[in-house]
Amino acid sequence: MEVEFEANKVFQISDIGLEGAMRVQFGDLVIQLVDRLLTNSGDLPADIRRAIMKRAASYGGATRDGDKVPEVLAPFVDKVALHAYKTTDDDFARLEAAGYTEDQLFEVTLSAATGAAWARLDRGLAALQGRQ
Amino acid sequence: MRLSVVEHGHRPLQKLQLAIIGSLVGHVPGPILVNSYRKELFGKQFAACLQRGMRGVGAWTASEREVFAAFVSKMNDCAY
Repeated sequence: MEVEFEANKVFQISDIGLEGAMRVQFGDLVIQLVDRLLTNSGDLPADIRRAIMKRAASYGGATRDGDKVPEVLAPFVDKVALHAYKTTDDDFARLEAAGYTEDQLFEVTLSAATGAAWARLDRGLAALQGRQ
Repeated sequence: MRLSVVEHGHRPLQKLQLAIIGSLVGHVPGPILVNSYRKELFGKQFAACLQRGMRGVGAWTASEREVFAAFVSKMNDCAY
């Protein structure tokens, strides 16, 4: 099932431990959430959304292979992943001044938040399952 | 909201629904605005995850899950 999902290009789904009862309970919904964010048409190219998601997830231990987040977006992606409560109006004003539309920034924020959330889910499941 | 499109960019029927929520609650909560804006991209699927996680079959009651969610939000310095 994993190879059918775009999410598998971002996360090693087989490694996250969404198995058994947990996968039955909500695993596929989570994978589909990631897939929609990566494959539905948006204002930001899908490969950028994917890179943002991978970068945000990397702070939870996921790999960051092929990270291609535009330099101007990277600090904001990191802030959303690590210290979302520190975001300010200036963060958005700076990115809009750099040429990003509000819809693009909506997608940046969702991608970063989803990547970070996935990493937390992985770490939580790892703790429950006694794996690294 | 820091992105005006998330506050004002919804479809006409959504705007009506949000106006009703606003009149009943006093304001429209941020998560509702985010989940309903361009919901095919994220909000619709996220709502399904939320419903399953917070209300689906599990060892904890819905109230216990809500309390834990509030605890985690506080740890993340999230007002919600």
